[in-house]
Amino acid sequence: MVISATLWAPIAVAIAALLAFFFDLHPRLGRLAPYWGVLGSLGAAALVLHGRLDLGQGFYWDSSATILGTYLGLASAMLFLLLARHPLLQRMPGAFTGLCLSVLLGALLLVGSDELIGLFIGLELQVLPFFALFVWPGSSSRALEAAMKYALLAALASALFALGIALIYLGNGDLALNPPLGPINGTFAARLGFILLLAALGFELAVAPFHAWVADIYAGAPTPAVLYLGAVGKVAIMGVLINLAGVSGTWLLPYLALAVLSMVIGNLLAWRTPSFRRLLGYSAVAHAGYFFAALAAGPLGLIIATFYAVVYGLMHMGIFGPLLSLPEGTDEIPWRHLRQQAPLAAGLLAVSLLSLAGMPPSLGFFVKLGVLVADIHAQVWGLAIVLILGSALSFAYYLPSLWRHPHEQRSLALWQPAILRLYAAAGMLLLGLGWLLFPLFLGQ
Amino acid sequence: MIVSLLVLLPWGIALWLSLAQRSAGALTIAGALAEILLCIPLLAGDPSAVAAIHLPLLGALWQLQANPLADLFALTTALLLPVALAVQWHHDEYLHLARILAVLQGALMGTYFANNFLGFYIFYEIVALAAAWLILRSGKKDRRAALTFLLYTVTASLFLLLAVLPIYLNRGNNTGIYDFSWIQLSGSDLSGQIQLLLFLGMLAGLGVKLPLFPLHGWARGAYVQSAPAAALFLSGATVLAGVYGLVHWAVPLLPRGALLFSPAGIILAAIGTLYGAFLALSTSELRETVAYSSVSHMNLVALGIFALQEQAWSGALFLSIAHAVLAAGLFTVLAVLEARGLGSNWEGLGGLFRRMPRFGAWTLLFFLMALGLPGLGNFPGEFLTLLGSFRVLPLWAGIATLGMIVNLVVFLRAYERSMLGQINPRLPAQIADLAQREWWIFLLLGAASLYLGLGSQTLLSDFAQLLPVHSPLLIGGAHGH
Repeated sequence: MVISATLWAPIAVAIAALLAFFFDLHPRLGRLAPYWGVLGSLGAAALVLHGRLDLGQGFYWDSSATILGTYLGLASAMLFLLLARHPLLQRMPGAFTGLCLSVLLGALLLVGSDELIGLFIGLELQVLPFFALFVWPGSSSRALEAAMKYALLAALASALFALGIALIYLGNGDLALNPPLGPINGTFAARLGFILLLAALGFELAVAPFHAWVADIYAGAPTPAVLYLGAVGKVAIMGVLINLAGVSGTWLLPYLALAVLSMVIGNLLAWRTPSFRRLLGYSAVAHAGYFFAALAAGPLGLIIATFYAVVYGLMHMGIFGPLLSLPEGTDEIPWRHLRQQAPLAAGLLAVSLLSLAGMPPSLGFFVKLGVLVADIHAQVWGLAIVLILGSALSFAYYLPSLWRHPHEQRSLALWQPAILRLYAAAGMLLLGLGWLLFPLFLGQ
Repeated sequence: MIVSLLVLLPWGIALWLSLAQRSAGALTIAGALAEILLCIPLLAGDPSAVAAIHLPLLGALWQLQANPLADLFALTTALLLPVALAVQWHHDEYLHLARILAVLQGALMGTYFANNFLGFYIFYEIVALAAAWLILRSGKKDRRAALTFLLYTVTASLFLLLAVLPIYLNRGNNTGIYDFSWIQLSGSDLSGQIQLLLFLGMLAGLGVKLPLFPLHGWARGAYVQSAPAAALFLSGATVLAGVYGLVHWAVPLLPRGALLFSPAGIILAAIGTLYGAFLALSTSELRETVAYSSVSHMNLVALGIFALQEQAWSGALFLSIAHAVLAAGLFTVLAVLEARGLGSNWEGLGGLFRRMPRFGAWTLLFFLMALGLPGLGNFPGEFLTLLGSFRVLPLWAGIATLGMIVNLVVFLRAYERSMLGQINPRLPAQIADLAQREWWIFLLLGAASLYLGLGSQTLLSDFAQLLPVHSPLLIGGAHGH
């Protein structure tokens, strides 16, 4: 049997994930597990690039899926490298690596699959490991509550997704994302199913009004797990949404509604939140709204949305990477300690906050500019105006979190390995000057 | 080359200051003087231009080009920096302030010379952020004032961005070239109604820096709560970015919209002039008076721009440069008071002239300039602005003139309350008169004011050359000569 090149990447990651669990057999072997994860992730990125634009069975790496797939592989590799010496990975590093690789596998399925069943498997593969990762031994007591909420809502989302698939099958008689007879949402039942799919994915991405879990998870779950959730999990969900928007024709109303709700609710909640980690959760809701604002703008929006997904992942890594060095459960940033002990990490945190706010000339500004251009091009003026009002309001909470100095303890031991310094320097360059790479993607 | 250097030199100095972390007064002064020297070849007519960082669909981001108006504004900004530094010399906050001011100066130079809208916008946002940082870290370190300033400017400038995007898409659709450069954006064929809407958007973004009448909510906090040197640079130099944006971007990009908006703009600015003057009249401290009179003057500048008439434009541009000198003078007066531990509250002032006669004399000069005495810097600008706009909308130009009259009352009363009359018993027994440094600052600013007032013809003849560069349509099609 010949396996088509499009399938190589998921298969490689699946094998790597399975093998990773065996690293726990011996502690000395276990220490190497994260590096195995690096290898597996890099392999995935390379194989995605190899299989791009090939016709295969059930998988198709089109341009946006290739960009996202490659990003997912590279980001996952970077995170494994960063987390390799993290205290949370002292116990069962092999299992941690295996679970994270399962998430990566799910993410690749979500981004690349063009069958609804493939999407469902991908969703389950990426949701289930997080139940465990959120309560990893060594995490704080708040984590249990957070994980419980996540588990309940994610199970509900999965059920909705399955129901949505069933309804689409009822309507179309086909499980392909791009069915041969007309668009995926051509019939009433299929349209209903499509809405259920959107709701389920909305839960995973924390789009308002499905955002109830996000602040608790961001505040309670251990930082490495949240880091992986945003950098890999959410970007993959964005990838599915891009694929779905690509096949749903001109039916943009649900995207429009979700975009407006998310931008308004996310920004308002973040504005009224004193705790830094919860604020990040709500700001993620707002960013999901900006992402939907790109999707609501038709074909040009899909290209922009792809970039938005990648940049969102990078900004998330830029925020939560430096937070690794602080003790778990820190609700405010001890800027003074951070600046003195880990200046590069403090710099990355500041640059990422500015980038999230959309301060030019950071990457965050350029993708927001792209969303604005797409919206105006599609003549959805209202959305563009909500977007700029939202991002103006976002300055009112991102910047004070930059200059709010909490009453700090006298001494604070920060976790700061050499790799974090490297990560921070690279991250600052990428977020601040990453737009210099645009000619690579948009070459004339 | 020179234009790039004008932006990068202050930023380099700021970077060095933050890395080295020690007092470097000589370096900051040398950098400030180098900026002034760099402006001279530009004024002599060096057509300096660079275009780098070509990005697909966006154009060359680092596209800087010298033009006569930008050169003048750059020189004004460059001249204000040493004044601001000298005012704050030997102060605890000096290093900190010098660093932020250098960032601000570089970004301002960028806004003047940028010929790519996206580049202009990026510089403009850096100006906003640096100015907010300046308010946050100097003087009373008022977070609320900084945040108010930031929210006003950022919200408004996002509208500016939003308003330019349709022009960009329109030009792109028509020509097939998607590029944010000035030459590409100007000459869109959008209808008058749409141009009017877009002009309102751009006006929001640019007018907030002046600040134009309904957008002036940040001015009190920013000018009153920050250190005098910071307020000096904010009200003298950063407002120029707004003026320049209106003259170089908003009007030429949307000429029909500007023409349609002209009457409403004149009314708005006239109300702003009068309103600012009345606010200045009823204050509890001298510093608020200075802040609101600055708002009033800048609204008069806006009035001149909206009139779209040659004399009014010359007057407005002249007034914006004179306003920089005036702001420097008035905030130096406040800095002198603050350096002697005197608040600027009215209750703590009175009869100062007897204790500090030299200071009183210089203060009188700048107050007279502020109330528009002929022969001093402000008068030619005010006169031409009002004359020009009178030909367009006489009634509202008249109302703006009333604002100038109120301004006269404001400053005469302010002088009377602070300098004349009985010596306020709360004043300390010994107050030092001007030190040598302060004396020199006043002397230079006074000379500049006299030059502007008496030798205005040289500057005005410059404007006659530069106006057609910015708006060929304006001179022919709008309200004319």
